[in-house]
Amino acid sequence: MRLRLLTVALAALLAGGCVGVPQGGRVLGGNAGGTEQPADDPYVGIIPVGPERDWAPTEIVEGFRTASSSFDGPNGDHQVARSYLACASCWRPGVASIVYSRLDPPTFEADGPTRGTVTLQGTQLGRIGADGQYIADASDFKEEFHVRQDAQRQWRITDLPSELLLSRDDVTRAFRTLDLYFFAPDSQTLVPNPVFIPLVSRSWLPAQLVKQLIGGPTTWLKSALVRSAFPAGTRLRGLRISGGVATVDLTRQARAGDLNNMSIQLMWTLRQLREVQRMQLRIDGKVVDVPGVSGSLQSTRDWAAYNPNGGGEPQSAYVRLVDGHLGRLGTDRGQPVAKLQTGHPAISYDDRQVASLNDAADTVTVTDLLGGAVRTTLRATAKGGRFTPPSWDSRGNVWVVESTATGSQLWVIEGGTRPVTVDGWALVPYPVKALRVSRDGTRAAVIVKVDGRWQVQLGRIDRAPSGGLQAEGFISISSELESAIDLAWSTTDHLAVVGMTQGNPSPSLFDVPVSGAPISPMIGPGGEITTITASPGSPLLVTQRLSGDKTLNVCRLSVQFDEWKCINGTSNPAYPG
Amino acid sequence: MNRWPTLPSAARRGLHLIRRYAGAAVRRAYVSWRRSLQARVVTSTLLVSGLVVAVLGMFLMQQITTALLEAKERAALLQLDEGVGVAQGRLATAGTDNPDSTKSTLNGIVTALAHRSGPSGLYEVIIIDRDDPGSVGFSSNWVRLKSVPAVLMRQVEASNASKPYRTYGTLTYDDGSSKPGLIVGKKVSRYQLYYLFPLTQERQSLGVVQQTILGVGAALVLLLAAIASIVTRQVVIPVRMAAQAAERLAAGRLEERMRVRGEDDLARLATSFNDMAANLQEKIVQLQELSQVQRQFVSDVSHELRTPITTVRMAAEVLYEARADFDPMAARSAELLQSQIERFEGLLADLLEISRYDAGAATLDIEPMDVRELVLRAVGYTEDLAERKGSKIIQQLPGEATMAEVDRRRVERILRNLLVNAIEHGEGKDIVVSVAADRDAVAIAVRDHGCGLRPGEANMVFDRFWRADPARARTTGGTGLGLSISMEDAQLHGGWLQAWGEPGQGSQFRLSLPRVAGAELRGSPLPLVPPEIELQRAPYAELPLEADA
Repeated sequence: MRLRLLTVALAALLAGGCVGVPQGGRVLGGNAGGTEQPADDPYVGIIPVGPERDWAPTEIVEGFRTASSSFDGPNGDHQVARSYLACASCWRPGVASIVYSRLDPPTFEADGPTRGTVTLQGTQLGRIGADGQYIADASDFKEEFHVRQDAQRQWRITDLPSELLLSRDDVTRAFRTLDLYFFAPDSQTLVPNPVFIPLVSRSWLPAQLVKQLIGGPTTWLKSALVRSAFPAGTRLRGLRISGGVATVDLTRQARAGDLNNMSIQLMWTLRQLREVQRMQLRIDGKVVDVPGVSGSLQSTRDWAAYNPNGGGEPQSAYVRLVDGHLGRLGTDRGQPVAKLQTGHPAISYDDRQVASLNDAADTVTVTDLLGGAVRTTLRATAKGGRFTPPSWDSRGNVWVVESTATGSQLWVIEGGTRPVTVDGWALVPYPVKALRVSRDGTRAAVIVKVDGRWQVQLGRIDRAPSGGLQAEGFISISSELESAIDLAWSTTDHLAVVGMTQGNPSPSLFDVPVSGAPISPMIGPGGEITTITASPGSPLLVTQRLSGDKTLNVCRLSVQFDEWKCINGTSNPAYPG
Repeated sequence: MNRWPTLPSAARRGLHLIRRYAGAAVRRAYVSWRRSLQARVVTSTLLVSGLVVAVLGMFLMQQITTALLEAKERAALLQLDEGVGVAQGRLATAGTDNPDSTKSTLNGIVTALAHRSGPSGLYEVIIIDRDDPGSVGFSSNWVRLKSVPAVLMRQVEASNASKPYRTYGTLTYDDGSSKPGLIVGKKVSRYQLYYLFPLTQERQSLGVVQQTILGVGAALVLLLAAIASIVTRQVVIPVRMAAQAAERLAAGRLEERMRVRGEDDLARLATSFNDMAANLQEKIVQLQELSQVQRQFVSDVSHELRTPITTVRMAAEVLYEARADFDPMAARSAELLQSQIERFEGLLADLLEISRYDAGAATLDIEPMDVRELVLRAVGYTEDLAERKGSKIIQQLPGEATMAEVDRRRVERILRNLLVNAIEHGEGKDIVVSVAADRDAVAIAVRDHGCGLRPGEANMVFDRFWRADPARARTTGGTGLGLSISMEDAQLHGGWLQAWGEPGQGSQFRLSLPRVAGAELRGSPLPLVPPEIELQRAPYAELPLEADA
C-alpha cells in the first residue's frame, strides 16, 4: 500500500519534472525588452601599441602616425601614441588634422649620429580645424618629424606638426560628424553647424557635444552671426544619459539665458544621438521648469516647431510640362497649374509665388501663382550672362546668380519684387552653375568653377559690417567629387548632388553631407540626369534624359520601395524653396 | 577628558550585555536540546536535509552551468567559423600589398562582423595584424586587447589555420568596465580573429537559477523540518502526557489515568499504562488496608494487654514481696515472674511507641537543651549496668555548652538505647561517648570495642527485632525494638542515626542532629568511622551510603 503510493508520487514527480521546450502554442506579439536605449552602430577602433626596441626612425614615425589615429585614454589624449615621443606630456593635440588620400613612404634624413628628420608627404583631401570644422582642400602636403636617439639608443620624436595625420578611413573610424544647432541671425530657425568629434568613448561623446554647443559655433559659422542662447561663461557641470533621458546640468551662469532657446538648442543637438529621446535641464544641480513644457522631461515633440528641416511633411512638387507650362506633379503625370511659361520654376515657401527662368536663362520673372500677375522681371545685365535657376529663402527673397564665362554676380530679389545686386559676393571671378540657399537663409550651396573644375562649395549669407548683404566664406566641402552638375538641399545639413567622381565620368547621384564627411552614392534612375530637387521628407526628384531621346522625364524616388518612377513629358521639378 | 573613559566602558558594557544574551541563548538552546526530543529531531532533520539539499543544489547548478556554457561554446565556434569565412572572402578580394588598403580591409572586416553582432551586443570582435607598426589590429566597441588572454593568443598564433581555440576570461573595456566572457579565436591567413562573447546574459540566467535553487532548497529544508516537527509532536505529546501521568501517579495520585484516543500504538500504550495504574492502585490500596489492619491490631493488642498485665504485675509484686515465705522453688519462680513481667511491660511500651510512629501520631516537644546534660543523664542511668558488665564509660565532652533544639525525652531515650546497646555488646571493654558541635549540627557518638558488626549489618541493626546473633543469650533483656525506635526518634528530629562496625574492631553509633529544629542537616561534626580506624584504614570498611561532609 505504502509502496504503491510512493511509486505513484515518484511517477508524478518525474512526469512533472520532464524537461521540454514547447513545440506549439499561441502566437504572441513580440516586444524586445530593453530597446529603450538603442545601441549605436558598432564602433570599430584601432588597437594602438607602443614602439618596439630598436625601431628605425621611419618605423617610429609610421608607428606614431598609426597609433595617434586612435583617441585612446580617458580623455582621448592618445596615451599609447605618446610613448613614441621624447616628451610625452609636451604634446597637446586637438582634433586639428590633415586628412590624406595618399601617403608616400617616409624618408629619413640624418642631421648627425643621434638626430634626424623624417618627412611624410602625400596628397591631402582637406583639413579638420581645431574647432572640428572640415574644409576640403585637395592639395599636396609635407610634414616633418624631428627625431632623436635617447639614452637607451631608441629613436623618439622630439618635434612634430600640431595636426594629426589621418587617412580617410581613420577619420571615418575615429570621428563622428554631428551638428551643433544655433539660431539664424534674425529668425528662430535652427542652423546646423556640423563638427567632427572624436569617438573617445560612448559616454564621452555626448558631453563633448554639449560642451562644444555651449562653446559656440565654429569660426566659419560664427561669421554668419548665428545666435546662441547660452550666456557667456556657462559651462557643463554634468551630463548623464540613462533610459533614453539625458540630464544636462549647466552652471549657474545659465540662469541668465533664455530657457526655451537653450532647451531647443540642446534638444535638437542631443537628439542626433540615438540613445537620447528626452532631456531634463538642470541648472546648478536643480531641475528647472522650462516654460511651455509640461513636466521636467522635454522631448523633441515639445520643440517640433523649431525643426531645422521644417515640418518634414511631403511638399507638392512643381514641374515644367512638355509645352513649357508650369504644372503640378501628380502620382503618374503632371497637371497644369497656370498658363505660365517657365524654364526652371522655383516656388516660394508659402506656395504663392513662382520665380521662373526662361529657356534662354537670361530673364528671371517672379509671378503670383494665383492670377499670374507678374511682380518683377530681372534681365541679365552682363553680355552673355545667364542666370542660375532661382532659389527662395524662407523670408521670401529670391536668390539668383548671373554668370558669364569669366565671372558671376549675385542678385537677390527682396520680397520677390525688388532686385538688387549683392555687393559682398565672394565668387565674382568664377562662373557659377547653380546656387541654392538653405532653408534657414544663412548658407548657400553653389557649384562654382574653380581651377577648371566644377566644385560644390558652401558659403555664408550675412550682413557686411556696412549693413549690406554679403555671400562669402565659401569653402569646399568635398574633395571626392570631380565635377558637379546640379545640387539641392535634401535636409538642412545634406546636399543631393548630381556629379561625377574620379574614375567615373558619367553623372550619378550623391548624398553629400555639408560637414565634409564622406559622400555616399545613391542609386539613380538611369539615363543622363540633368537637374535634381529635394526637400526634407519628400521624395527625391530628378530630370532624366534617356540617351537617343529628346524628351525629358521627371523621375521620383519612391520613399517606401527605394525605386524610381519616371513621368513622361515633364522636366525641371521644383519643391518650394 | 571625561568622554574618553565612558566610551570604552559603554562599549564594554554593551559587549558584556551581548555576550550575556548570547550565552543565555546558547544555554537555552542547549537546555531545550537536552530536554526536548522534538527539538533534537527537528535540528537533526534541518542539518541533514540542509546538507543533502546543498549538495544536490551544487550538483544541479554545476550541471546547468555546464549545459549553458557548452551551448554557448558551440554557438560561439559556429559564429567564429562564419566570421572567418567572411574575413577570408574579403581578404581574398582585397589587395593586401599596400598597408593602407590592408588596414582598410581589416577595418571593414571588423565593422562587418561587429554589425552582425546586432543591437544586443552579442559579441565583440578583435582582429590582430602583427605587421603594422603602431597598431596590432582592430577591435570593436572599445574592448581592450588584454581581454584576449595571452595563453590563447600564443596558442592561436602558433596554430595552423584550421583549428579554433576557446577559453574563458574577462572582457575589459576602455572605460574601465569589465564583464566575464567566452573568447574564441582562429587564425585567418596571417591574421588572428577573435570573437569575445560577454557572458552577462548567462550570468544573469545562472543567477536566476541559483536564486530559484536557493529558494526552493530553503523551502524544502523548512518543509522537512516542519514535517519532522509535526510528526515528532504527534509522538511526543502522548509520550509527554504519559510522563506527566506517571509523575502524578508516582506522586501518589493513584486515580490518575491517560486519555485513550484512537487505536494506534500510542492508544495501546495509554491502555497498558491505564491497566498498569489500575493494578497498582488496587494492590497499593490492598496493602494499605492490610498494614492498617495490622497496625491497628498491634495497637489494640498492646492496649488490651496493658490492663491484664497491670493486674498480673500487682499480683506478681505481692508474690515477690512475700517470697521469703515461700519455699525456694516458689521464691525463685516469683523472682522470675517479677523480672519477666518488667520485661514484658517494657516490650509493651515499645510496641505502643512503635505503633504510634506507624500511625504517624508521634510529635516532638521541642526545647533548647544542652546536649552534654542529656549525655550525662543517660550515662548516669546506665553506669550501674556498665559496672555490672565491667565496662567503663569514658566521656569526651566539649568544654562549653552545646545547645540544640531537641525533644529531651526522645534524645535521652536514644542515648540510653545506644549506651545500653554498647554495654551489651562491649564485652566488658571501654565505651567512649563523644560529643561535638559545629555551627549547624551537634553529634553524639557511642563507641564500643566489642565484637563489632559484619559487613552489611550496619543497616540491619535498625530493623525491628533484628539480632546480631539469634542464638546468643539475652542478658540485659532488650526488647529488640530499641534501635528501631531510636531511628524513628532521630528521623523525627530531622537527624541521622548511623552505625559503623567491623568484626573485631567494635562498632560506633553516631547521632547527628540539627541545632535548630526543622533545619536541614548537611553534615556531621563527628566522623562515623572512628579516627584511629580511619588512620589504619582496613581493606574494607562499612561505609555509609551518605558521604560524610
